[in-house]
Amino acid sequence: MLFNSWEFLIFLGVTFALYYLPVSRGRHGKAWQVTLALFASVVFYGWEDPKLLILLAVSCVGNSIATARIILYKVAGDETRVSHWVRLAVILNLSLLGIFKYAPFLVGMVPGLPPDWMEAIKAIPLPIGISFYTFHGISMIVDVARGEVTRESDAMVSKGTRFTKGVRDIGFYLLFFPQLVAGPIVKAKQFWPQIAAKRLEDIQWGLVLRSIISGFFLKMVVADNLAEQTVILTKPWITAASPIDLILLLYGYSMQIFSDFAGYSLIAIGLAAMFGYRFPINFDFPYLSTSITEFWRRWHMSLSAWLRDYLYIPLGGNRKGEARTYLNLFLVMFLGGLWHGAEWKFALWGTLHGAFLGIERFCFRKRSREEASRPRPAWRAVLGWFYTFHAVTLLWLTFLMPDLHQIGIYFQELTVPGKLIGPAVFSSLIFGSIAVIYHIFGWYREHRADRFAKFRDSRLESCAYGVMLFLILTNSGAPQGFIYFQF
Amino acid sequence: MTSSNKTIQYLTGVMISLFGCFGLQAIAFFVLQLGAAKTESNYFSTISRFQGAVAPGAEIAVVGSSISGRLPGRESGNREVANLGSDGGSPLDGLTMLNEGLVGRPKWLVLEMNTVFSSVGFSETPAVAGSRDPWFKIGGHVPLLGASARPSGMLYGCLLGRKKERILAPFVLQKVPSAIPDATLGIESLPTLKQERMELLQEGLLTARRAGTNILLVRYPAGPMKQEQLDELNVAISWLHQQTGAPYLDLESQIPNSQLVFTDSVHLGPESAARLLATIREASRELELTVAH
Repeated sequence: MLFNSWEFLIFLGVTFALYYLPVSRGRHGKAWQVTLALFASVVFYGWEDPKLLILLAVSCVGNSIATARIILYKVAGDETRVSHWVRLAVILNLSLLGIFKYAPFLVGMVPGLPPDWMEAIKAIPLPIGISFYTFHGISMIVDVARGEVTRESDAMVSKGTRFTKGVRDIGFYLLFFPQLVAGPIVKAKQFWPQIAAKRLEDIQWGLVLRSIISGFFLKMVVADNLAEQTVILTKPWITAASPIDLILLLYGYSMQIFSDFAGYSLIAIGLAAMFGYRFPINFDFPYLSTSITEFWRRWHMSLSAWLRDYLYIPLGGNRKGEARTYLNLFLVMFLGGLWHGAEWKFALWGTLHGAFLGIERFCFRKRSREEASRPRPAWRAVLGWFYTFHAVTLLWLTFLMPDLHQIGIYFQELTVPGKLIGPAVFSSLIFGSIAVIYHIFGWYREHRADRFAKFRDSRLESCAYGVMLFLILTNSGAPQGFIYFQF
Repeated sequence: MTSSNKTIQYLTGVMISLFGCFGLQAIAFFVLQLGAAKTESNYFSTISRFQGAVAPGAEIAVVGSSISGRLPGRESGNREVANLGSDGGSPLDGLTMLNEGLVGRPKWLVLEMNTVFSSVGFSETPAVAGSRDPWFKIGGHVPLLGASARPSGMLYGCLLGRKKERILAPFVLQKVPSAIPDATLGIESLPTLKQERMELLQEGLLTARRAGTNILLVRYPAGPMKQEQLDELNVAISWLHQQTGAPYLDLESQIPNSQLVFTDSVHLGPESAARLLATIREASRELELTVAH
């Protein structure tokens, strides 16, 4: 089910009404709400294709059993068995990912496989959101093993009803529909302490409305309108576009992918708040970054944090010498790229980002902590921003294009004069500039905090949300799926 | 000020601004008549034509691709013509809309032959799927939520320097209907997908005919075709004529290109499109008289 569909609107209305029924105020309020939200999440996920629920159930049950065992051995002080179960659970999660996401990709590289096998493996469908719920599962296992969610996992130690409740809560964490298919990747230690009975009067409506309106605005007005034009870049008729079209469309795609994913994350944050849960922010005006390093602190922040906590640091991070740090950076970005899709182009995209991170690290290796935290002269910040924005935008080409050949055509066509395509230029400028204004607003928030505080809750702000609502109703683009659903 | 008062004040601001925007849009759409038939979006250009075609009672419905889409239909204030041209699509889109009852049934259905083989293998474009969405129906009934009232579409129309359509004299045709092209081979000579496409079209046309709609096959002036494509097109015209008995109008051969203005190599400029439509209407009336006698 898509957030931007009619069925979702009905689904949300019904779930919300049932969630806050008077029964939710009684002794069994938490049980009612968690069970209902769990059931609603199952309906949400299985709506298009109920078969997908089987895989989700395998992941959920497998992770629940492993979590219960880990807690049990953790309490008993048996670290060997804890490690054993952690390994097993991580292998289970990675196997699901490997079979359903990477097997069709890897099979092409294995020589001598019978053609029937190849076809059968290539026909394995990619279950929606598998990358996200697998990462949730791993986060839960590791957080529990590290003892970071001890208090909340008490229930898992006992048997009978309390154990069932524990399994229910785990299922709820893994499946909660706002974050199920495209994040944000909420860590167990962030989510579990929040599982409790929620009251209607505690809803932060300001957060809900701001997140949902700006999320739908970014997705439906900015990203969907841009998507109809930027698709030209991936098609054979790219040759009909003039160099100006091509450049504008690439900038347009840069704004589109931001608006698509940041929009989704904002909607997810708003929806979670409707049900009394706080999700971490996922995008912090990434195109304001003045280095690629900073970009990764602002873009898909929950993935960056996940990769840092569960991959980069366990690999040794920057504690094992310079050479190893560069290797770790490369590995994390290479795998992070592949996480986005089982294709070499994503690996290349991640690797190139990793290369930029490595270069930046090398260039600034002698800078002390104080130097790094000191404000830089404006001209250096502008230069840094210019380099970062253009490097990131250029690298989106590897993300967007179907193959390297198409990238070659893109650069070739940049040298061939042609006639402007009106709609491409118009949409890139009009809708792309909305994303630019959004970032200017972000800059204002960061650098003029006092003035921004006056803007917050002011009439001007409420008017801005009114305009966004108007454009959602009258100027949404052709309906499109979310780009990150495919990952 | 209490928190609830602040919330009410905030929401009032949102509502005032929302309705203020609708007010401005209403002025642009109803007073300044900026409603756009051709917008920056193929999808919404098509949807706006489809929404215009919803009400029954049209004399003519044109079905085809963006070539037909350029003819000024109801979305351009031409009440007699329902334009079911689908940008980036094929005649099957409009035919599906008609036969599913998503738009009103006309007296004449004008089938664009130039693109009968466009997007072979695909049965419909997203615009047809979008027409089944409740939002399509809402837009059909509430003009400000319709596709032709999109603010960006109106702005794009203004930038293009859109002019109001004028009633223009039709072109003079030598022969109505035109002779059916010679095609010695049947549809079995076409690749499988194209044969399937023809059968789908035939089915759609016969359904429309059973519902009382007359059919006219038209080839629009749209520049020269490769010989291979022309041969296939002739097979399609000849076969559809045999199957449905529909008359054929070859405007490509009867109207010299020198009398027409194209915005690119395929699509007609507004004045040429308006004259062409007048020509088709004239021809359909002539054919109606022939049928009546």
